[in-house]
Order: sequence, then structure tokens, then C-alpha cells
Amino acid sequence: MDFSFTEEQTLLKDSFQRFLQDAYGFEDYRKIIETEQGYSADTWAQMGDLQWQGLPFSDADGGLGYGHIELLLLAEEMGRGLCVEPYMANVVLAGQTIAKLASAEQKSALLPGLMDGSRQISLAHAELGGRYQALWCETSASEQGDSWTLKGHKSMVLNAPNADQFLVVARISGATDEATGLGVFLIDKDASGVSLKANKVLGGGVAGELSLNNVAAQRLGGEAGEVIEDVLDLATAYSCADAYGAMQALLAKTAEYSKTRKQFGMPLGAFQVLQHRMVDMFIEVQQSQSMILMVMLRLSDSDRAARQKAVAACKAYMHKASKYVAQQAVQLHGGIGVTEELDIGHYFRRLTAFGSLFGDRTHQLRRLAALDKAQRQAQGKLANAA
Amino acid sequence: MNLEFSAEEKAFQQEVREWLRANKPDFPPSLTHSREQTLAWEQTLASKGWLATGWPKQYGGTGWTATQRYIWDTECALANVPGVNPFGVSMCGPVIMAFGNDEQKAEHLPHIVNATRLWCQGYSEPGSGSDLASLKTRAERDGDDYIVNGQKIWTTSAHIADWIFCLVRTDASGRKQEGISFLLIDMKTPGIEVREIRSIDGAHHLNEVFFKDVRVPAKNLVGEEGKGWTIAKFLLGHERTTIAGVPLCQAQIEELKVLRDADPNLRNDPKVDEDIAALEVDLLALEYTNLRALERAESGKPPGPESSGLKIKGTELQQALAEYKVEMGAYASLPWQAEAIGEAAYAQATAAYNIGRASTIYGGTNEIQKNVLAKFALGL
Ligand SMILES: Cc1cc2nc3c(=O)[nH]c(=O)nc-3n(C[C@H](O)[C@H](O)[C@H](O)COP(=O)(O)OP(=O)(O)OC[C@H]3O[C@@H](n4cnc5c(N)ncnc54)[C@H](O)[C@@H]3O)c2cc1C
Repeated sequence: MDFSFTEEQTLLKDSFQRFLQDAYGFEDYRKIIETEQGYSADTWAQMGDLQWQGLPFSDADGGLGYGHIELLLLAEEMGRGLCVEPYMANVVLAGQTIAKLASAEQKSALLPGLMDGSRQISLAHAELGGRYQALWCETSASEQGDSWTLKGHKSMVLNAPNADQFLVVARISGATDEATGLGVFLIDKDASGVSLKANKVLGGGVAGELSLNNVAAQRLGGEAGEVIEDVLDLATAYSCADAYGAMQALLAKTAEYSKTRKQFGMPLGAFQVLQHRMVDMFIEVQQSQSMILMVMLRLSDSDRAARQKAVAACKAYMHKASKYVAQQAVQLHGGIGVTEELDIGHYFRRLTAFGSLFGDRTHQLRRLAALDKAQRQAQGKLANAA
Repeated sequence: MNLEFSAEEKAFQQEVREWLRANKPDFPPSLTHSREQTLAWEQTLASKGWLATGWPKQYGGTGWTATQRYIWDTECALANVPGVNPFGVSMCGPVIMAFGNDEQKAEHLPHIVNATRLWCQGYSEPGSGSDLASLKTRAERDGDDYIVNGQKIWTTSAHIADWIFCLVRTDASGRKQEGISFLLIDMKTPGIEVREIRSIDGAHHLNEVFFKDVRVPAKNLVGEEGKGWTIAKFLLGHERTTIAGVPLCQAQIEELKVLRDADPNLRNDPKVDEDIAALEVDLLALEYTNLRALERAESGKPPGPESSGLKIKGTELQQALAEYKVEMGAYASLPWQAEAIGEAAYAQATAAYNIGRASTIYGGTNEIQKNVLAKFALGL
């Protein structure tokens, strides 16, 4: 058994951490989240210069060819550093959809700009009516000759106000919740029939409500359901790693605060009830680290269901653990914990948003149970249960 | 045992319900209200004579029984009307009634009961939160005045208040609980500066209040000099029958059910039914504990052990309800300081959950509450 990272991975992680520490102080962050675009164009361009956006793309696609382990290490540092650059929206959600689905020609048109930070693309997948079901889709795509027309409404399109283009998941055939009959379509933000309502998002960043009224679109590749599910799983794993980074920061900051803040003539850390609380936080951070390592290992499993189960389990666990750590960090800070003046409240918001993104604990537990039952069925263990 | 409302109480309930329906303010309820909104609503209540629901008639209060107050609070929560700023009516007023002199009563009580002055509470300081008795803001006697120097923090509504009641140190020589005095200060006095602290929900509730050589007439001292701690303790025990926030929780449960019933994804999900039922069971236990406290208060008995956990359980339940609403909203809970997407009720859900974390911190943190209970309820 070996849970250690390679030297290269450790160096990469350190470089992420150092860059974010230098480029992204808490005061910078506070200014950035007040801006309309919700990120720092300078930092985004610098990340492009450092080729961060190219990190998870293959050599053939023009990327750095790293795997999901390096991607999750980056996410962890983003969370620790309260980074609100639109990395997940562009690189993970849109970028991985393109990498897995698009033709060589489409890739060469889209990926170079995405990787140097000059082009932004958002994936429009969620619809409120489907709650967290990845493939629930009312937005429709119809074919006329060799062009496609889209109609429908997409919600919480991450980073949409900054996007030059959108990738829209739309239904070509089948019922609203069917796993097949889905395509991914590329549209320009200014195309006729597109309207966007911008929102700020809890915990930083922006999103939009996207209305599509007979919008001309170009299709990317073929049947898209499995790719969408896989990309959302990768994004879920990414957001778990981000949350793990934020949880570590909260624990460290809370423990530190409890050593310096005095009440009743002694540091808060001297009160046993608070010691136990912080130990519980510490244990949850440890457990979460284990879950992140589990996901890192299992995401390369050749069995798709095993990968899905790993992600669902990780998110289910970490939603609960992150809530505990965030709530206790606020509680142990007292009044200062519920302000915008200290980073604690901002981590709290980030972790609250994490819980709801791509499916909460309940959703993931149900997925896990369904995957498990399907497996038992296949193994013949459910034969007599009907 | 009998828990039925009497015929008069039922009639009262009906009267209250109809009045609230007819007089509900036209601005939408939110987590913060401006000074104008606060005064407008409180003056509406005052002109009906229903602002000071815990006060005796003698001072312009309603003279209601604890049961009538309970009915009132419940109806207000169900009607979703704004809460009343507690600092004047529920805190400073009762203190002046119990400890103030005739001049102070004549000067302040009418303004509170008519909602012509807003109050705020200046207890906490940067170095003195849970350990309130260590407070350092000094008040030094100078002829007919006190000269106040120091800083208060977390002062809710200081930016919209006319007056502040403060705990100040008039003597630093003895035990820290001694030498504390209770002082009323006009916010317009020269030397007072108020600075905003933005909260985790992005709103402005909280402030820092700085005092630099603030000259306060000595006649604004309530009770004896050096006996402010006794007054502070009196206030802590004062709201034992309303502290749990049962009516608010009931209104929130009802809202969750309405939201569930309107959304097919939630309506057809047995887990949602179970989750809401579980919250409701906790609320029922809290409600009956609260009723026990109410019954004792009604019959003039001192608080019993049942009232001890009310704040702890009440705040925990409020937080659980806020948390569950965020989860019910799914993606609709994620927009921040933005218009609603989907169901409008979720637009404020996350902000409410965020600021709701404060309820286990203010008014004595839940850890401090438990320390007190360990000592006084269990003798540990
Ligand atoms: C929204 C909000 C509104 C407020 N409004 C007002 C107001 O209007 N006027 C006013 O005067 N104050 C107000 N307060 C202040 C409030 O009363 C204090 O925040 C509270 O007393 C806690 O003090 P603190 O923030 O300094 O935290 P601290 O006392 O530093 O406590 C930090 C943590 O340590 C824990 N702790 C401290 N001592 C012990 C111990 N002995 N054993 C175990 N745990 C301990 C606490 O429980 C807490 O979790 C408000 C606070 C908030 C959040």
C-alpha cells in the first residue's frame, strides 16, 4: 500500500499554494467578489501563463497531460485559498465535456483559447425541475437539415455572465428523465434567441439563468448522457477536494484563534468542551482526507459504477462533515465568526454552496444505494427479492 | 390538566388574527428593516396599544396574561409580520420599570411604548463577550456628569437607534462583577461614533460604537452605581417564556410544508415527509416545555428546571429549520444577493441560514448557557 504523492505532485501542490498565497490575499478576494464579473481577470491570465487551465487535458489535446490526482490537488489549494477564479466552470465542466465529446476539429477551435485563459465557456446542464438528476432535461434540440435548434431554460449555469460560448445539454429524443437521447450543443452568447439573467453565487463567483428561444446550435459529438454524468462526477470530486482545502483552513484558523482569544482570563482553547469540539472537527477533516484519497484512487478504476460509487460516497460524507466543520468554526469564533470582516464567514458560505452543488448528501446516498442494488442484481443476489 | 384556550382567549385570538390581517405592513418581510420601516410598524402597533405586550397597563402596556402574549406571538409569526425591536420594549423598558426612578420612568417609558425612540444594547466589548463582567468601558464621575470612554461591539441596530443602554465600569478596584453600572446614553451625544460591521448574510445589523469623552448626565444612571451586574442578570432571566421562539419555528415548519407541497420533487419524496415530521416532533417537545414555563409564569411561580433548556433547544431548532430550507431549495438556494430563481421563498434561504448561526452566539452563547445549567440545574 502507498498513499504518498509523487515528488512531482507534491511540488505542483506547493506551487499552487504559493501562487494563491501571493496572488490572492483575503483583502484581494474581498474586492474581487464585489466586482460584477466575480473573478480577477489578472489572476486568470496569470494562471493561463502558468498553464493551469491546461493541466487536466491530454498532450494530444494540447494540455499538460496530468490526471485527476493533480486536478484534485489544485482544487484543494483553491479551496484553502478562497480562490474564486472560474476554473471549475471552464476547465472541468466545459473543458472536460469538450475533451470527451468533441471532434478533433471542434477541439482545435475551442481548447487552445480555453487553455490560455482567453476564451471562456460554460456548461449549461441543470434544470430546476430535475433537482439534482444529472440527465433530467426538458430543453429540446431539433434537427433541420444539418443544423440544430435549441429551446428551453437552464439554471445555475456557472460563470455564465463571463462566458463567450455555452455548451447546452439538450434532449433530442425520449422522456424528460431518460438517460439516452441527449446531445451537447455549442452556442454563442450573442446568438439570436439567447437571453441570460446574471446572478451572484453564494460563496463567490457568478452564474446565470439561460433562456433559449429557437437558438441555432452546433452539436458536439454524439450521444452525451454518459459524458455528462462522468463530467459532473469529476466536478463533484473536484468540489469535494476544494471543500477539503477549505475545511483544513477553518480547522487551522479556529485552533489558532482559540490559542490567542482569551475570556475568563484564559485562552478559549483551555476550555475542555471547546477542545473536544475542535478534536471532532479535526477528526472530520481526517476522515474527509481519507475520502479524497479514496476518490483519487478509485477515479481511475476501469469499472464505471465503481467510479460513480466512489464519488457519491465522498460527497455524501463530505457534505455532512463540511457542514459540521463550518458551523463549529463559526460558533467557536463567536460574534466575529458571523461577519464578512473575517475569512471564517466566507469559508462558511463556500462550504454551504458546496453542499448544494451537483447533488446534496441525500441525492448522493440514493445514487449510491441504486448503484449498489444494480450491482447486486447483476450478481444475482437480488434474484429472490422481487 | 387542561390546555384548551378559554372562550375569552379564543375570542382574543380571533380579534388578534383579524387585526393583523388588516394592519400588516405593506413592505415585504426581510432580514433587516430600515429605521423608517421599523418605526412605521411599531407605531402602528403602538397606536393600537399592542406594542408593549409584556408590560403592565400602568405604563401603557397591554397588561396581557402570559397566555395572551403566547397567542399574540403565535399569530404574529403566522401572519409573518416583522418582529419588534426588543431593546426598548423587552429590555430597557422592564429595567427602568424595575430599577429606574420616577423621573426616568416619565422620561423614557412613554417614548418606548409609543415607539418614538429606538434603543440598542451596549453590553459586549472586543475583549468581553462571554466574559461580559470583564468589560472595560469607563464612566468617570465629573460633577453632575459621567465621562464615558471605551468601545462596544456587536451592537445590533446602533445605526438606527436614538438611545443606547450600556454597562459601564464605574469602579475597577474590586471583583469584576462589582463596579459595573447601568447607564442610558443619548446616541446624539458628542463623542459617539458608530461604525458598521457587515454580517455573514451581507447585511448591516451590527456595529461598533466608540465613546470618546462622552458626557452623560449622572441622572441617566439606572439603579445604584456599581449595581449594574444585578440589572444585567435580571434582564437575562426576564424573557424566559418567549426565548425559545416557538411561534417562529411553527411558522417556519408551516412554510416548509407549503414549499414541499408546491414542488412535485419534494411532495412525492417520503424522506422529505420524514425530515419535516422529525423537525415537527422536536418542535412539539419544545412547545410543551415552553407551555410548562408559561404555566409557571402565569401562576406566579419562579422559573423551574423546564425553562433552562429553552434557549438551547429553541436556537438549535431554528438553525435546523433554516438549514433544511436551504437543502429543500437545492439549486434555487444558491443565488446570492440576487433575484430568486424558481420558487421565490428560497431567495433568502441561505442568507437566513447564515445569519441564523448567530442565534447560538448572541444573548449568551449556548456553551455559556450549558455552563450555567451544569452549575445551577445539576449542581456540578
Ligand atoms: C448577530 C449578533 C447580534 C448581537 N447583538 C448584540 C447587541 O445588540 N448588544 C450586545 O451587547 N451584544 C450583542 N452581541 C454580542 C454577543 O452577546 C456576543 O457575541 C456573545 O456574548 C459572545 O461573545 P464573543 O462574540 O466575544 O465570543 P467569545 O466570548 O469570544 O466566545 C467564543 C467561543 O468560545 C466559547 N466560550 C467562551 N467562554 C467559554 C467557556 N467558559 N466555556 C465554554 N465555551 C466558552 C463561546 O461559547 C464561543 O463559542 C451580538 C452578537 C451577534 C452574533
